[in-house]
Amino acid sequence: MIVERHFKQLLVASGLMLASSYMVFTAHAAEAPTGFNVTSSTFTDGGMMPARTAYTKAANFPNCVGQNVSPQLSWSKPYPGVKSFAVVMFDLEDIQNDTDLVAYGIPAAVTSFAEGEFSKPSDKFVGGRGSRGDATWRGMCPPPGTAPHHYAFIVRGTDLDPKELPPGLTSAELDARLRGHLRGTAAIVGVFVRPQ
Amino acid sequence: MHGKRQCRLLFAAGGLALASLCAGSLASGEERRLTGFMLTSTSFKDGGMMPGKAAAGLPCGLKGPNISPQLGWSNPPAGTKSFAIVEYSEEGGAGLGTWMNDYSHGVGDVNLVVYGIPASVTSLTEGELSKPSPNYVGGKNRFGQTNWRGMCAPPGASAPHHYLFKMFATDLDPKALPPGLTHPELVKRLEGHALDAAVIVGLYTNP
Repeated sequence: MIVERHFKQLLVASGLMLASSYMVFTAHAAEAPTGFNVTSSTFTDGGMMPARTAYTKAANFPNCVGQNVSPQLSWSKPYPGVKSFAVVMFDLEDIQNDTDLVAYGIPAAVTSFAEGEFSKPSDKFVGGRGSRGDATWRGMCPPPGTAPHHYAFIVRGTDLDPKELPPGLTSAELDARLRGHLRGTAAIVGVFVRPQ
Repeated sequence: MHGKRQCRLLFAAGGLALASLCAGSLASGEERRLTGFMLTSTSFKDGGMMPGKAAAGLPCGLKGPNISPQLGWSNPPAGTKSFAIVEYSEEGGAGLGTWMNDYSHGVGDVNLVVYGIPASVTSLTEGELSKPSPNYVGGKNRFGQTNWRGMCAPPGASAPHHYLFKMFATDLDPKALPPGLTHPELVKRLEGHALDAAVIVGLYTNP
């Protein structure tokens, strides 16, 4: 009995040591292992986005060259405990992170969006509010003669019920509501420049 | 078009504060783009893998000697007096926000905060950001370090992380800002002084 108790104490003690060394490691590492990742069949990571994803040309939008088709997105290997996903897309070069898509309340069972699916309302997501007030995809529309910009698509897992958040949140409001509820982040970056 | 041009002038003249007025009236549907300002690197291609030597090494369990990548830039906007660079990963910190009570997208896991780079400087050599240099003023990264802290993806991080290098062109004198600013503090100090930004993205996964 005494030996067994000692053994148990040893087990507990070594477990604690292991746990604490793991904590030290992760504290330094800051980037915990995960395979959580997002891909697109519309563009490759770091590659050029096709013109159809840009905003639609109109009388008051003469520089727009696209059809406002949101790109296809898929993600896999989310963290355990994810109840919903949030997706934002923003212009990395923009000083204020000009945002073209804010969507959340995506049920955990949903792991992909077809091309154009973010361009119109759907029961697969709750629409937030982009920098131009849109609840759905608002494609890029740069003026001619400027350098390519990088557009980051950020997919975040959350432990929030898909119905938890009200519609119409801006990206900053969404960040605030997700504080303490994040369960992993994945990113893909597209590049776009107006065809000459 | 007229509105757009006005926005550009306002932006160039007044920076962020006035630009935000423009942002509020972006009825044109167009984006604010001022110049062909570009950030490049000879150490990695935009959207490509970063070299292992840029990784943090110990205590991350990595062998990387923490050599900062080369960075070069061109076509800054008129009126630029100094540059600032931040580098961060959206995926870092497991994206859990555990380190980042102030987490918001565009902040993430911050590995580098430097500023006060004189307008006459147009590149930084490999390793230059790994140690103090008269070419920049060191801020404070997520770990309190004043210079480059390389990537730290642990083994098993099978999906490459994105490391976003964002350079701001500012109208601030190179000596205007005190050393040791964190990323949020820098962003606050750049309000009304950031003229434009340029970005390059590197990937890294622990082999």
